[in-house]
Amino acid sequence: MKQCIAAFKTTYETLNAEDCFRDAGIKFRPILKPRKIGSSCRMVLRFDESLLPLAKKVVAKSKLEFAGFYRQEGEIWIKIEND
Amino acid sequence: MKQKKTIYLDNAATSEPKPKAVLKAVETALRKITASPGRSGYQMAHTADRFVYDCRKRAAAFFGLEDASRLIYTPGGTYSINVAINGFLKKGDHIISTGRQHNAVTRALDSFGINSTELAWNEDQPLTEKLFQKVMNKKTKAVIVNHASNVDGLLYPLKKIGRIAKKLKLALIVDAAQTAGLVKIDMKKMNIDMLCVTAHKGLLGPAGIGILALSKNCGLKPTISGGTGSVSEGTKMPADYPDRLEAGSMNLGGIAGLDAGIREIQKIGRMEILKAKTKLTEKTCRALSKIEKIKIYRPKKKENRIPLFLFNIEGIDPSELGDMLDRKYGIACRVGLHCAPSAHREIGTYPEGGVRFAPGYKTTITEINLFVKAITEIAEKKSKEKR
Repeated sequence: MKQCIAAFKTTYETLNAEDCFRDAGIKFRPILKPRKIGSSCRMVLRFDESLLPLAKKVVAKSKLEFAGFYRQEGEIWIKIEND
Repeated sequence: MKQKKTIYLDNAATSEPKPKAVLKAVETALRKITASPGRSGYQMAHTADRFVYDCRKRAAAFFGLEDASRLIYTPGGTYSINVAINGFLKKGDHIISTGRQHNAVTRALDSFGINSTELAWNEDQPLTEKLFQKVMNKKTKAVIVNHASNVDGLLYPLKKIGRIAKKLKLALIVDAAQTAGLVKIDMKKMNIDMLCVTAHKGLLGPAGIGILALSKNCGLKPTISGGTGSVSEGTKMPADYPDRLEAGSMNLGGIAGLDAGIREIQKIGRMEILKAKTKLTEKTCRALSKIEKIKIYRPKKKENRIPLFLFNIEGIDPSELGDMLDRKYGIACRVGLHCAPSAHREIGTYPEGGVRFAPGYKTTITEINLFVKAITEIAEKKSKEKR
């Protein structure tokens, strides 16, 4: 199963998102933001790709300060544009 | 006669004693939540992230702030006021202030080149929109209110001021140093745009930590720059809150103490604390007012005051009185101008100042009786000397 990550603009929003994901039943793991998608020292939420549609809904509904979804393609993370 | 234990009546300066829960929370945070929040991905750091997030949420809820990301931790109330004034206003802007303001406001306004006009209001007259319009000009951007005076306890009708400020399209900045934890503050209901709070007074927490809470309507330019753990590639501060205004490593011990203070107040009950302090203050006032040559300064109406007051004994320098209370009776009261000269000017006690009575949530009736006895003895002695 491919992995996705959800990135948020601040640590506060990442933690807010953790609560929202948890409430929605999305299994995730907080990981340090991969260097290839930015130079922040912040956490992002990693989850199975199968949960991406639900994650998108949660982000839209919760009005989180969102920085983007990324999908893992081999060694790199590709930003998911409205697919 | 001097007591073994100091009778501390300076709770408007800082609350004493700190609740055990606060001491424990600070120690636990320093011992167990030792990583820097917002900077790393290991579990210890994540625990610290979550800890700050939870504290922030609880503090936001306590002050009726919907979006907790707009609750900024600062090194204290004065710092919050400075960030609010400097971040919201620019040199040459004008604001409406209150006569009871503290030097935290007076000096910040002077420092940043902000012009101000004091609202000419006292409790004998209605607080109307007209009063505000009289002192407004084209450059007026905000109203800054000392929610309650640290000198005589005058409590400004904040809800009404909030309604007027909103109608006049002025931002409302509130210095809640004396009221946070004691008087109900709901930012949404009171139309507060910037709430400046310190932890170590009514919130029963440690010094060195405060809050600047911002409504969704107000944007502040960052006045302190530095690392936030976010948008690290850029030279500018991040656009999003709280990072925008929180540069540098966080004061985890302070945040823990502030949070524990809030929880302690919720456990005891804010109203219970207010009632207890009011009861002590009223009892003291009644007793002191029987003493010849004593003058008490406080608002006339109950609804316009918080439980503290200023007093003087005719013919005794306030500093001398404070010194006698300390050395002879072991009673700690703050004397002088209380960093609020404009308040003393309004009250009529400038430049000598006065002695402030400010009981705490743990002050006892026995301590009040000893205080009244001490003042009675000092006044009688002075009276005899004069004869």
